[in-house]
Amino acid sequence: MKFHTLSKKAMGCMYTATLLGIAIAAAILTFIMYYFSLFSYPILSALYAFLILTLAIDGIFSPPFRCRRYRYAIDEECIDIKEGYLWLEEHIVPIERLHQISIAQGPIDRMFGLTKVIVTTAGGEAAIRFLEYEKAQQIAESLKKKINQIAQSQRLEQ
Amino acid sequence: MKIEKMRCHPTIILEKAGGFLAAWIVIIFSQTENIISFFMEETLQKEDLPFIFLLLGLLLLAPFLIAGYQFLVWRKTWIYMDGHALVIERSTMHRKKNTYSIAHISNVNMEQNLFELMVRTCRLKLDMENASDADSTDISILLSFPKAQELKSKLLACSGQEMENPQNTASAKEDCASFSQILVHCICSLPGYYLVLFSLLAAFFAFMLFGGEFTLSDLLFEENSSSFFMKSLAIGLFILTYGYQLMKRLLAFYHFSACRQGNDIIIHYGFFRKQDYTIPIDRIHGLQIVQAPFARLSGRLEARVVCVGIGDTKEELTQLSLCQKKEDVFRLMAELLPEFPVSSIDYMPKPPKHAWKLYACGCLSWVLLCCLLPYALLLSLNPPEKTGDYVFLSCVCLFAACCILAYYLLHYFCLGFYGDGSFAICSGGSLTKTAALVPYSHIQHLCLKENPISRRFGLSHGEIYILASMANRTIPFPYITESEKKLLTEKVACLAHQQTRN
Repeated sequence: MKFHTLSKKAMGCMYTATLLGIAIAAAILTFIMYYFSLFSYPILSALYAFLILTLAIDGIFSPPFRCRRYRYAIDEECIDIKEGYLWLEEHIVPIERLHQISIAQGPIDRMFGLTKVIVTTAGGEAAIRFLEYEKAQQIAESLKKKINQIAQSQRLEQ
Repeated sequence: MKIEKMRCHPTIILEKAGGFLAAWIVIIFSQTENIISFFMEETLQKEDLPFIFLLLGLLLLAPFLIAGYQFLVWRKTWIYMDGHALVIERSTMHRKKNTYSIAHISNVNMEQNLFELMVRTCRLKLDMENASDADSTDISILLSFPKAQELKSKLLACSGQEMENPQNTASAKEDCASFSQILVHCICSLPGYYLVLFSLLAAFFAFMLFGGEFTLSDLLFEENSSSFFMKSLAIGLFILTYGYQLMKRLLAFYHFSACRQGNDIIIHYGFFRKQDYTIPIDRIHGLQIVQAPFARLSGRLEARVVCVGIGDTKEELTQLSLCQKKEDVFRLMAELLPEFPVSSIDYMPKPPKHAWKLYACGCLSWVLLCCLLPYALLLSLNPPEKTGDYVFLSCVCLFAACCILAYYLLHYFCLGFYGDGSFAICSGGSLTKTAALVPYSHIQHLCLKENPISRRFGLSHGEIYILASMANRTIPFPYITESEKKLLTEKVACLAHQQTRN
């Protein structure tokens, strides 16, 4: 099974999404600390500083690791997606189980010209993310062909 | 070919409008006196009368409008079979026509509530084999009993299944569960949180009584009679609630029977609400062997079926067998579902060698997060003035840590995974132990997870996704070794591929 890695654009997208998430989380945390006057407690201020520092470190260091570790492979039998930084996840989706294939683009994805292919089975869904638009179209098209072939062979059997 | 169209039974109008009519009657009768006195009032202005009469007219007309609308819906709704499709057509203002492929019907259920039992009607409930609406009943048709039987047999014949033989059904009904079996089931299958609640309540009473500050008479017979009344009421309500729950379960499982007929499983049960399920074997996506705390203590277990269409409502029970002795359940399952190797749960291998270290890490992190961190924060933010408060806080923290530890220990001893053969068997739980048997041919997809520590030991855990209602859609499996992981991924991918090729 040949695994594909992501393009360089994906790193920028990951950085933007992660830093944006961290900025929102930090803003909410700061608002809570300020609104309830929690900065006057030294231990809570220290805890706040520790949390913000952890988030910042995560925001700076996690995207390159996540980008390097993100892999996907598609063969005759299944789709295999590996992702994560410290906590790794691997999704294995048999092609025969596919019910639906969709392409989606969020605002950050659009900024970088990236998109994701969402494959849906009867049990749930998995997504191949940070793909270039043409690549996503190719994948969706090839999956569609495979599904049609399967459906045709099933119909012939019946 | 002539298409035979039919309507729902006319009593559906009463069933649909019944709730509103009952509420209307109650409101009108309870407010009659107020309405009369309102008209008798001298302050009533003549100019207001048209408006008041209009309001009163609308109020009196409301039930007729609702009943009329329901009558219209009933009259304009047609049900018919068009080739291999079931069509439900509604030609009211909100016109719609739903066509369902009979080949994709997951199961055909028949249900009768008390009213339907009296008027000899029956609700035919059909569920389609798809994920998007697996949590709700797709089609519900109210018909007279013979018509419902006829439609059911037509649907089953069209989907390539056979209607149950009435003679066989009669013999199956003779094997109905006895009252004692149902009672044992209702008690033994009480969920884990009941046990926790009972333990907490018992501990509370023990503390109150033996703590030295109160006696039972203090607790109940205080001088203040209103306080006594309130306590008695609370205890009474508590007992009544549990009694009611037990009674409800007893009646729900009344005349429970499950039997195998060809390639279908037939389940009957219910007193006030009679349920009748026909589940094709190939639509069963998994089997759960459940052991609630009391059942574990008494060496009992029960089998539940995982498929689309059962369990959409609270009344729909997924039990395939009542809570019985292990040998009895194994024997019953060998007769009912020999395709599922239920007895294999006895040979479930324990988690791999280093798995306990991972669970210990998880336990430690929860203790740190939920006990030690809040304890340290509380002490530093608001230091207690008395030594007693320190002791109390430490006791609370220790108790919470013990609870987390107990949960992890119980959880660890429930874990197991067996992936050889054509089934994946995943066992888990804490107070209630659940083993799920899923055929590889029914696994939709798979998710494997690893953390930095598990990677070091070459272990991974994850979830299996199957086609079922939301509650049963993901089946978690515990930490497994690299070889087990390889076996699992290969079987999931290859079996699906082979299924299509064959």
